[in-house]
Amino acid sequence: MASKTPSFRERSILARYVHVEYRGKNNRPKPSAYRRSPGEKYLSVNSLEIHTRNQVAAIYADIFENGNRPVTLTEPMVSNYNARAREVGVTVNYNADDGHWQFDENGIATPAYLHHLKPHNESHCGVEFVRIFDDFKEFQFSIRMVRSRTYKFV
Amino acid sequence: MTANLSLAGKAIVSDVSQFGRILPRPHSFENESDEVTSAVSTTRVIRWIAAPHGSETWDEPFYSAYADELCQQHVLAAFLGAVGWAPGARTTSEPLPKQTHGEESQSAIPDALWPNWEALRRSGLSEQAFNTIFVTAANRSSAGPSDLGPINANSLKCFLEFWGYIGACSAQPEISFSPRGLVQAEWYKNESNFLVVEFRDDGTLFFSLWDNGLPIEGIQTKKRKYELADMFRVRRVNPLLWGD
Repeated sequence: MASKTPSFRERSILARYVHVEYRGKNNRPKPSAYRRSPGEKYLSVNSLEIHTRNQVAAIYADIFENGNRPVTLTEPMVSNYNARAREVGVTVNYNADDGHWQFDENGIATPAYLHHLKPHNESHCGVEFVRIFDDFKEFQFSIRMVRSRTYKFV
Repeated sequence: MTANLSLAGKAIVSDVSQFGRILPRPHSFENESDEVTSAVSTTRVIRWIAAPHGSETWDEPFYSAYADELCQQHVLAAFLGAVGWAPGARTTSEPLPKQTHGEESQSAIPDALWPNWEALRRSGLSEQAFNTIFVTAANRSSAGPSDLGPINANSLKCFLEFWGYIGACSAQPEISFSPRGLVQAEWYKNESNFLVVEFRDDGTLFFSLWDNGLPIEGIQTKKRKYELADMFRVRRVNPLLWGD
């Protein structure tokens, strides 16, 4: 299982753990659920091509919630991330030659999604294009993402 | 009251009475002569224990929720102890002791609460909002698995100024803090109608108003933040009334 690599197809789901601080009324995620922590270079997500929803939930329950369940996960598809990025002015294109989503970073075509293999978190991936957002675009992007209504309690 | 409780129940009653003396009750800010004895969350637990529930079996989901809550209160208790709120010695009607230069690096007190304490206690924010600010400040100043940054004092100051201007004619927003510690206030009606304002540490405001699914977004300078509030208030549908 650990050797598997996510494909990041349009309909691939990249789940995002919602920190307990960011669960609003009725467990609705607050906009900050899609903000990077200080020092993070990408938005941490987990590919459901590698782990099941339950496995991802277990990983974050162990890290942040003393193993307590349920935790809240949002489950947008790659296409959702791409669309929301486009809405705030960042274009993510599909490069059919090497099969990657790419964005323009200082004139260089850079992969928009990467697999960041971690011990005990083999499905860990990054949404890379968020690092070219300025603060306001990051704010706009996060608000658009929470409107997606893709959250689940696992 | 505790006669029918299990040992676990009795232990919790003991905890409740212990923490009940230490924790502040934000509601009492409205009446400073009140003796402050307990937090809202603690009161809720006491009510549950005192209620005639007709069963001696321990309610497992409730126990979990309470354990979480108590854990947060331990953080609060540690914080309050650090600022000298010994049981029975102080109430929230008294201002915090002044912080002198050089204490900052050794203090367990979240930085954001020091300069904003007076404004916070007079803000008229709901108990829920106050608790959110207080617990988040305490949690983010303690070591833990979270990599969220401490609350930003300037951002909180900016929010309290804004709230002071609109508070009398606004619903209570949901308050949260961005990973970098900036205050976000959200007036939420439904997914198509909501307003989010983020208060930056330089005093500027990011706002995102969604009216029937259509966004109006922008950045407002520190000097013109009250004009933004006025702009919301004169709209056909005032977003500051969404929520609660």
